[in-house]
Amino acid sequence: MSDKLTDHDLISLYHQGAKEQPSTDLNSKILTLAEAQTNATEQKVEETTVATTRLGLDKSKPNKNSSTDIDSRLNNVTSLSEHLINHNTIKNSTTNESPNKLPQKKPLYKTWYGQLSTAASLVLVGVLYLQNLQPMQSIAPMSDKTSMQEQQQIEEQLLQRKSIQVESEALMERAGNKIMMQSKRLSQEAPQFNTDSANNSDSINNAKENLMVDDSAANGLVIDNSVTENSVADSSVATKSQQLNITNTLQKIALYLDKDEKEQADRLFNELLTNYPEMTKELTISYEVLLSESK
Amino acid sequence: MTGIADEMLMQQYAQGDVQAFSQLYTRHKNSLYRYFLRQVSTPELAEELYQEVWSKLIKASPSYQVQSKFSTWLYRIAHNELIDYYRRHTSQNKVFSTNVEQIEHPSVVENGELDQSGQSSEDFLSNTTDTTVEDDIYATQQIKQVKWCLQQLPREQKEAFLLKHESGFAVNEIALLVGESHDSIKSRIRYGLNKLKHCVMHNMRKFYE
Repeated sequence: MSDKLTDHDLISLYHQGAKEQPSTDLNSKILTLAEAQTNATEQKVEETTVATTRLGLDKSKPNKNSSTDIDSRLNNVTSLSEHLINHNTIKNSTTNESPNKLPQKKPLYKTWYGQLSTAASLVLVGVLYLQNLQPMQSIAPMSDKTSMQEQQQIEEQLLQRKSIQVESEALMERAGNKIMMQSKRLSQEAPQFNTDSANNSDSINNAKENLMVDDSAANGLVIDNSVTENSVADSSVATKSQQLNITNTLQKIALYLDKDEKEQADRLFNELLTNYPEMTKELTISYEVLLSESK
Repeated sequence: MTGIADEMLMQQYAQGDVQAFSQLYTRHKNSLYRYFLRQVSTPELAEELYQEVWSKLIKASPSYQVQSKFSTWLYRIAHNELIDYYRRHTSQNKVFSTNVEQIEHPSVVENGELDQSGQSSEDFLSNTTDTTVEDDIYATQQIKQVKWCLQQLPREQKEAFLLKHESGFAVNEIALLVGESHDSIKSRIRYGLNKLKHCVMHNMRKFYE
């Protein structure tokens, strides 16, 4: 006998002592349980077969005398289930059922409130659709083709407008340059004209002032110095606008003459003369210059 | 293990062959029973858990698919059952404290009392010669001490020891089954064996004193 004990000794000692076995009762219990499980599976298979036969889905079996077949199968199933029930009663501890199973919850769509909520939501969707139907139609009443055509037309129009604008700008520039040149030449050739025109403008202003004074007197109003100052400022603004107007019209006339539209140019010139009769002389000279330029 | 593989037998049982299950059951019943018997306080409780494991296995049989070794599957169910049992009780320590109290220390078995085999020490001695008698008594005491000391081991070490030396699993299989690392299982087995050795030797010395 030695005091030393190896791992191997210890394990062999354990194996020597490990002789316990489950009792025969326990063994038979478990084997019965295994058998019952097999029977239950078979029963399930048979139930499915019965169901398919009832529905006439099992084409391998003849439909004739099917009722007797089903009856015999049902008897078999009943006897099997009875057998199983007996087994379960005896072997209480080995049942397959779990006793504390919670009741299965019904799916929402199967409940009355589930169906009601579904119907309500459908109605709501319908109402919303009808409400929005009219605006949707007004937004897109045309077909795709027509809308495309319209878009193309709009684009074409925009392009035309742009080209016209560019052309007119170029013409305006040219005309402006011409006028500037003419005015320079005129100022060089006839210095008298400037003084005359200045005199004329002064006389126009004076006449206007007189007219305004007459009007105010007629209305019984007293003309203050401030008022006269304002009227002077107004008159200067008016002359400026007059000059601008004349220049613009002359530019237009130059354009028409460039395009060989003499009638239009004459018409504008006549309008100019009627609007500014006091400047007939100056206007005639400038018109003649434009005519000679255009030739 | 000869004959048809466990997995094949289980598949046959799943198809309705009860005989296949019987064969399978015979192969694993003893080791599984002892696996529980060594880890719980009473044989009744061991039987209950043992039955529950087989019941679960039978229930799951129709959907059985070979994904791992059958024995691994069986012992995983057993391991989970044991864990559940420990959880159901208030504390693990309580289980073990009652365990220790209820188990009779082999050293207190006096002459004339019946041992587990139902044979008295006097009868045993009268039937054998002097030298062999002494050896046999010593061996019997050692076996008893091994069982007793095994009960005293911590739960994890005890389970690892049993899975290796009772059920024959490899260390990596145990690791997979218990859900622990290979190294921790290895150390559990080593520590368990050392403790067991010391306990047995200490008790044997005490017995002869």
